Amino acid sequence: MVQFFKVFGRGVLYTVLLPFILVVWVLYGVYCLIIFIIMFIKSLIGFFKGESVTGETKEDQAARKMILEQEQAQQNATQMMSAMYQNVLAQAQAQQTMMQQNPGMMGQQMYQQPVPQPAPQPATELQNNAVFAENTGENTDILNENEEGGTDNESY
Amino acid sequence: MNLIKLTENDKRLIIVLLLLIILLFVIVGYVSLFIKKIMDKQGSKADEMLANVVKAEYFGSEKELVRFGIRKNSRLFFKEARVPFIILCVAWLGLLLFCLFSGNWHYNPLSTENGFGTLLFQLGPWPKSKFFHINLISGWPEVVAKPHFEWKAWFSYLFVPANIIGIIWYLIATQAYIARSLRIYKIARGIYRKKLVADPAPTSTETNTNNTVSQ
Repeated sequence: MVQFFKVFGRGVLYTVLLPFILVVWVLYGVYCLIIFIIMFIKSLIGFFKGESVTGETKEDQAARKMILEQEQAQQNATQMMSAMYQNVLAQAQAQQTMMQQNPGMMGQQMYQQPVPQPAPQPATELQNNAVFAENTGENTDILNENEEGGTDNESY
Repeated sequence: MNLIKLTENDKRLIIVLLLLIILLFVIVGYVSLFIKKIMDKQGSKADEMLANVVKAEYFGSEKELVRFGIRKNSRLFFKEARVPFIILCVAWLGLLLFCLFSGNWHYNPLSTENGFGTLLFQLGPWPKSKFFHINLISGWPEVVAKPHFEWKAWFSYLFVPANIIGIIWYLIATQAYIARSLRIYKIARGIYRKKLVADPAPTSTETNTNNTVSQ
């Protein structure tokens, strides 16, 4: 029902606007006639020059060229990425094959690879004292007292 | 005070007139929807015309794109309007030659004696009657002459249909030009004018162009 009223309203609107629409249409018809005459003259001139009025414009040709160049650049980039990937894959496969053929080499390789060690930290005075005390058999309570003091400091 | 008295016939006439008016508006509404669909289809040609330059980002401003679009539109209109123009030119050239060879420069192609009017019903005056002091048509007119073939009207049987076909074809090409022009302005606005508010969901005819614009 709502659809019917919409169509009815549209009909009323266009019935009222019909004379103006027809006037605009006829005026556009006259304007298009002028365009047709101008294009006819251009086509005559183009005919003798060997150009076509209905064919591609210079902008169309330039745009098509730009799109082709963009597509080619994209294709090249894709090909390069693909080649790099293929290379990495081939290397990994070669390594795997080598490991399969020489399983002992796997352990050797693991042994040969240095295990990363943590960097040596500079010794503190307390640690030095503890080592000295251990070596000499002295009391190490001072170490504990300092730790407690340290704990007190941390409490607040 | 005299009240308006309506007879049964008058009431029936008013109801029929109202129904006819409503039917007329509904028909006009559906015809306008049909014309809008045709114009949308004709306007989609503008998307094809501008696809390459928009994809390549050839133009830097709305004005340049619109100017290029109008130029392409004029070229396409010239291509579409060539045939109806040729038909009209040939028809009027034929009329010129007919008048030249027959020696009758007052020949009327629409005449009811030796023109296209011979193929139409010739009606007498429409009978009218008073309806609330207004003269309204109250019946069908008398048929004065029926459609008949006249050999001397042979040229008008070619000339008038050629003109009708040419004029209608030309007006359709003009309508297509208007539809494409509107589409060009819409595309240029959509590409170069930035909106912060998202557009509502596109209709089925706008889906492709929205995809193009979003690129």
